[in-house]
Amino acid sequence: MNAAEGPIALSAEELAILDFTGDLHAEEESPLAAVLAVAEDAMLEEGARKLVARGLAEKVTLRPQRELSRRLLAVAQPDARVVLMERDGKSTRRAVEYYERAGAFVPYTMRDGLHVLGTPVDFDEVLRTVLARLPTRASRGDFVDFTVSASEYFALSLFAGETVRAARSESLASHRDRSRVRVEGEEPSTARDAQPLRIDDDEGTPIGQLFRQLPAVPRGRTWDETVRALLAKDVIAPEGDGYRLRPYLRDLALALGTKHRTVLTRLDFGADDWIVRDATLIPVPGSLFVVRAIEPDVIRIAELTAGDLEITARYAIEPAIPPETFAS
Amino acid sequence: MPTPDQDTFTEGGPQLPRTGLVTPRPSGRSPTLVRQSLDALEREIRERETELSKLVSILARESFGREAAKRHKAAIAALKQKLKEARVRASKGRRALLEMERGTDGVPTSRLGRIEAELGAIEQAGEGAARARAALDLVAELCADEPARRLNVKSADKLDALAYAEDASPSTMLADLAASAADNFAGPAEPVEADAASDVRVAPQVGKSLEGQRRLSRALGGGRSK
Repeated sequence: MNAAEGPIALSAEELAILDFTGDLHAEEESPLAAVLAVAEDAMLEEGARKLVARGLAEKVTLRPQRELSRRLLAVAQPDARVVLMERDGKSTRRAVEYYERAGAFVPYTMRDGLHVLGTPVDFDEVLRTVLARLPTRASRGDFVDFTVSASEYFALSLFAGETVRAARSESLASHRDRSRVRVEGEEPSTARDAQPLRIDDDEGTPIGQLFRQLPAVPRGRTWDETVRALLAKDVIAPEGDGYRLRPYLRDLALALGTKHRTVLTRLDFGADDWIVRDATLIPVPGSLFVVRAIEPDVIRIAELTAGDLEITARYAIEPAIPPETFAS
Repeated sequence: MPTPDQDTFTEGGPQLPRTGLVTPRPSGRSPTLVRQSLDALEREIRERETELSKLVSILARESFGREAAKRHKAAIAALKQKLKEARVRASKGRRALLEMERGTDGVPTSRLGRIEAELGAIEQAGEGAARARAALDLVAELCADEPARRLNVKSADKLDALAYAEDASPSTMLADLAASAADNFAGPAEPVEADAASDVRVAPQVGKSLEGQRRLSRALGGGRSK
């Protein structure tokens, strides 16, 4: 196989010699800029030898192979960057990272100390890759979709936060059970089957017990008004002398409360500034949500269909900015 | 072997002739003038590259040995410095031209860099949840009003700023409110998980816009914005 087919992995030495010969100029936004800043003379000989041996540079002049030049240009002097960050509550990772130059998107990863430049693709392929990582609900039927005011969203977030706290307590209780039983050498099936963040479906909590001190709800709205609005929207339900989040929102609440989210971002590098567009998506088991302010006091919470997702992703990362940047 | 002129990446991938896109807006700079200036810079860059490639060929004949590299180091460094300066100017021109072509020069600078007064008012709102509630209004406004935003990153360490901007935005702040509620606002206090994305130690120099965003993020989490 030709050395420039498939991904090209470059070591710090190889980048150093390309920098030395002037074939590589990394902008400040490039991930290669940090490598070049620490290049040392001793690396040059080794880098030159490796590049030639791999067929990535011409032996006499050390000019980099054409395909290598093409990929380097995109990653070193990009017009834009597209990145998909996946956060699972404990850690964050770049699941997808592309550098764009003149319509060609070069996938980039850092692996075992090597800078890996993938095969350039067009925007449609980038979109396909992104969408493949974001499965939406396969079944038909009612997709969750409602709007709330900022005050209602604040109250909803507090209910969601309380849901997470309850789940954590339950998880801890379950963990204590496991520890106790483990000492005795046998684990009961109920503990074995317990999910770490399971919530009791019929759990209800009076609002006064939820919070040590009820936070203020400015803009003239009282807690009662806000709670009544959430009741009317079927976001919460009365239970006992309190309220609880409706069960259909529990997965979303747990994901939000534990910072499970996927952020798709495009950064266009301007002459002096960056233009940023993004979409924050909330994956839950078997589905995908978006939480977005569509007007200053209107926040939309929606479960995405495959079509919605494509529109959202396209508007976030398409090279030219569409007139309506996000579908509401 | 292609000539140096041929052996460059030919630009011209799909340039999105899509309907309904934003029409480029005049921004006080003429695309023709920028293009002429860019052409001149690119000619200069090619000349410098040719000079440099002659020196590199000499080194290549000596297998890029350390001794040979040392001998030509000063000449190469001087040439590379001139080349770098020309490339930096060309890059700015190219990006300005691209903004005009794509219509992004019409995107206004984000308010994130000018929210001192709002942050001051949020500070006055109280502690914890009260502060977060006050910050939420501003976050929601920014989310709704700036689906595409121009960030001022002039004084920023670009890689720090990138690392911060790729994981934190007004829309992530909105999504993270429930996590703040779970950790900070209700029930008995629990240790708060460190949030790398909003931690000042991780992103010390992120520029004016992202610095405003970071402070707002802290306020929405119930903490002090300063």
